Amino acid sequence: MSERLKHIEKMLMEISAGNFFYRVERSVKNDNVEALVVVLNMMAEEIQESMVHQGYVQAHGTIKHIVQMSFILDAKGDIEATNQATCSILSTLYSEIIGKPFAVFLDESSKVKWKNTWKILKQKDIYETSVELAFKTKGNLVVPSACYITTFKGEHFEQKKTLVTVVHHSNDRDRLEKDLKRSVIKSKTKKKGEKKHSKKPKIRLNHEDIRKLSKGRDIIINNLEKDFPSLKDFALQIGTNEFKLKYGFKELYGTSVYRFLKNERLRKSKMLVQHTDLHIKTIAHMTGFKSLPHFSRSFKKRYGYTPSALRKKPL
Amino acid sequence: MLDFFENDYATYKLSDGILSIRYHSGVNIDFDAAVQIVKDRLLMQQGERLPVLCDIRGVKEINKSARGYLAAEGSVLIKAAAFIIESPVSEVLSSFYLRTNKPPIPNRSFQSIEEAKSFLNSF
Repeated sequence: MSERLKHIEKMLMEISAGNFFYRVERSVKNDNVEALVVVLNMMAEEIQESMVHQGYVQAHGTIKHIVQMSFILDAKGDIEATNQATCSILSTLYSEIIGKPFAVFLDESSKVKWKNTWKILKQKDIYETSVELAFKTKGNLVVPSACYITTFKGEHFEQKKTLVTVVHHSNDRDRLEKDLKRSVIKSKTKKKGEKKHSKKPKIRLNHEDIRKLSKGRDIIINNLEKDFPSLKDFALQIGTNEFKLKYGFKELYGTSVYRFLKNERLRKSKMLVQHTDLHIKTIAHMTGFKSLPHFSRSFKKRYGYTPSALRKKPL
Repeated sequence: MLDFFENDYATYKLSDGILSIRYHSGVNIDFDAAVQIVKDRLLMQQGERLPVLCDIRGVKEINKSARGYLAAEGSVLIKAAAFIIESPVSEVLSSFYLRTNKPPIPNRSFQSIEEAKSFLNSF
């Protein structure tokens, strides 16, 4: 069997064992095997996310941090200590990790990234950063990860040490929103949404229900600018009833129909406010808001700043 | 209106009412790349809704959060999108994206730029 097919086989084994965070390393080829690798990697990514969500499909976000590796590096960048999960994730023995340069366990492009990060880190007395690095396992699978790098110094260490913490699940979209919010308003008040967990027993949705609900979701996204019908009419339109629509939508997408609609309207309007010169009133109408004040209020409630504040932000 | 633009990931060209985006060869699209790509596209469009021709033959990889962003935020102000693909890698990239992320705009994939343009001209 060719080397590439062996990697695919290994990856399928890992998926079967419930390890969705491995990837097959990409080559420069453009053939059918490579296409299979592309689909396999993306499939693992999708499963990985839906497993974490426990039922919500395509909810773009809300991921918790789960799998972790950590490394303590000495002043030369060699690994001085690591945790047990590292050995199993990289399928490498503890003794094969300790004393090795950290870069040994990275793929080619990450080696370059790490070299640059290390260079900056060496120049600073104390330093903290995060960088996306891809680790390579002994079986040549790739584990792309978000890494947090911290240097620290203690009274008893004569040399500076570096801690690398590897987090497998973080949420880009939340980060983007937070960054933007920070740059629009400088106040430090933060409010966090509380999550409520329903204790009602779950009703199972069948494939037909899920297909109808996902059609409903597509209809919402495609008609943001139009008036939204009553839930009863909307349910009829997609061939279900109001109860199943309300209950199922929440189960599947983790939010109510109206909240989903509002969020999608706001998401679109935010892009238009931020990246175009269109009048804010025009944007409000394009995204289904009845009046400018209503739009501004909803926008502020969702993002913490008004559309005009976002527009005035210097680029 | 600007009719040419280039960033780290793609070149943008506006001609005959169609915005053509050609991704650079071997490009890897992650979330930050997707944000930049959409931002630069909207900068070129200046609020105008346009049909977009996306030459993705150079794309090597695109991760889940980038796919999600392009399908949601990235669909703003696009009348229709045509993907230029070359079998088999970019072909599976586009069909996976269209099937799982379901961007809310008319989409089709083509092997020839001419056919893609005539599809876009019908919008």
